[in-house]
Amino acid sequence: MPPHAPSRQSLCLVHPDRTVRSILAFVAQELNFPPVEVFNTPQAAARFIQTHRPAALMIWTDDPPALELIERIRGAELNCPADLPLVILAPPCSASQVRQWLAFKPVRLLLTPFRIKDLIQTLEQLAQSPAVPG
Amino acid sequence: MTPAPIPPDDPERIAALRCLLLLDTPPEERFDTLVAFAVREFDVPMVLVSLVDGERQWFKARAGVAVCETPRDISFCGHAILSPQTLIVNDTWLDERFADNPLVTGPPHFRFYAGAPLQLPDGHRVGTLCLMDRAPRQLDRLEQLTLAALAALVVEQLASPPAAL
Repeated sequence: MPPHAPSRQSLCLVHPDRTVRSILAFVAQELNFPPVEVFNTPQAAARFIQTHRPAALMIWTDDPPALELIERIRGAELNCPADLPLVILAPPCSASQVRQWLAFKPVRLLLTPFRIKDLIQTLEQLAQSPAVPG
Repeated sequence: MTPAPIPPDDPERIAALRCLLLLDTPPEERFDTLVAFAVREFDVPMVLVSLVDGERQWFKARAGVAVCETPRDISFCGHAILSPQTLIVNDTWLDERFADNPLVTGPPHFRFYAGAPLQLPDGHRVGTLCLMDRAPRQLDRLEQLTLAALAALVVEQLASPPAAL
């Protein structure tokens, strides 16, 4: 496999809206992206990450469990690289909150309002990124 | 204007539609939510879940359109159900099938139309999820896929009974 071949590891999406989850999974399949594993809660995603090694995590962050999941990943408490590529989706928030999200070094921070198309383009970037080492 | 053609399987198609028991039923949140999502995502003024009946198209959910049905022969959706692909008319004024359609020359003055067919598991296309605008537009590939995904969610709801109260 070439060194920068797209990873076929799954992409992990955490979002409370079933419509968003379904559309992203559908479009990823149509575009032959790596499979998108979808979860409605950070807790469910944490269980998946413990037993699988997703290539990236895209997560909606408007509640403490989401923050906790990100902290556990960056703290190497889960069975995945601590530098797992991360996309943070967030509601409008203060500058200090933005700084907090950026401190986790996400590959992208999307604040609402964003469109599904923005998420698909972000998925596309993740799908084309080099495989996660390890 | 080209009147909406009648597909060869129309009697069976209409039977499948009527088996859904949705025609002339009140609005339902499960469909309205998907229509509202489409309005936001595509930034269009009009979105419909249109069911193509024998002589009319009837709207199970609608945004930006005042009427609840129109005659089938002038419907865009009557054309869209002929193919499994999304029908896109970027500019109705430049399309001889629609340029003199009453929905183009009069209210609501459709200039752009994109209709993703609602295809049931048995293969019958009973209607569309469609977007309309009063100005010409393009729909790129990602937007077309998003519309198709939303249509699949509408089909999922068509085939499911409403949630118990």
